[in-house]
Amino acid sequence: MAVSDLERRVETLESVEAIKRLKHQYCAYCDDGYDADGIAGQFVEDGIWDGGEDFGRHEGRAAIHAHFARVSSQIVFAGHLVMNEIIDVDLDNDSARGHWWIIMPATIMMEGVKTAVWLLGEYEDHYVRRDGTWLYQTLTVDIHFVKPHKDGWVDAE
Amino acid sequence: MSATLDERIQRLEDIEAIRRLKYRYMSYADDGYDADGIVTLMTPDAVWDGGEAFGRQEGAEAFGNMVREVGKQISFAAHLALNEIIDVDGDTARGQWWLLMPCTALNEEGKDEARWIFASYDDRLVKRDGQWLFAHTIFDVKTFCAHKDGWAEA
Repeated sequence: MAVSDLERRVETLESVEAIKRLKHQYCAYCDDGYDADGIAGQFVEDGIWDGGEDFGRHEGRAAIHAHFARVSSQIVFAGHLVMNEIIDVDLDNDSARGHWWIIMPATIMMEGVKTAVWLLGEYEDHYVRRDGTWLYQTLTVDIHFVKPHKDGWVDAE
Repeated sequence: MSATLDERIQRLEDIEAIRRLKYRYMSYADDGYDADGIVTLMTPDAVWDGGEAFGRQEGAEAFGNMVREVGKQISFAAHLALNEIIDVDGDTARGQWWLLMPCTALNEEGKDEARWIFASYDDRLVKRDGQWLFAHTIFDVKTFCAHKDGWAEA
């Protein structure tokens, strides 16, 4: 059945909104002690979470779950604050791309000491729609720096 | 039966209106804690629950009075609202947000000090005569620390 032009425009806006919610819910799971069940459930079965050299590449829901179950012991507190999203939706292929910035105040264990830090990074996400729900196919995070609050970030690469 | 196009557009418009309401709230707070402005965004019997840090305020008038008091303590603030999760159900809605707020506040010695607030909001909203308003807010402060100290021990 042909879908009207207006219907497609509405569906595109709904998809952008659903993807923002997916991202914000992901951040909420991370802030909530890295809820591994919640996070893994946002990825398709063969989804990939790629944190590069700092956090590693984890392929498949089970590996993503295991990664987040581990990370919570090192990060006492985190506010995953995301912004500046650029979201492109391809309805014909049930696919979308998203670029985001993250600035994150956190308390992490550094050599056994609780330390206030700032993390700055960028996300490149690939989303797919399955049974009407947008999920992560791939999440790639490029960390610019993780620096102690007291030191600032001049020496960051 | 699935939603009509009109209902689907209405939902998108409601989400955007709720974002705008929140940003206006933040703008009034940034603008010298404009209590008269901020109370126009809530129902007269709204509850604002700031927990141990800011107390529970019942009614817009009580909340406005608290806002004026806070304005005496905080001479500069940027209320940056982020990471919204908004669920609309007809004429009611829930909005969850993060707040990242750099500010200048009086310290224990009565001197201006650079501080950070990290907090979350959990809002219940109602639509009255086509306008979204705050009906109940839980404001949960995670950190209110001096910039020079950081938040590791918070």
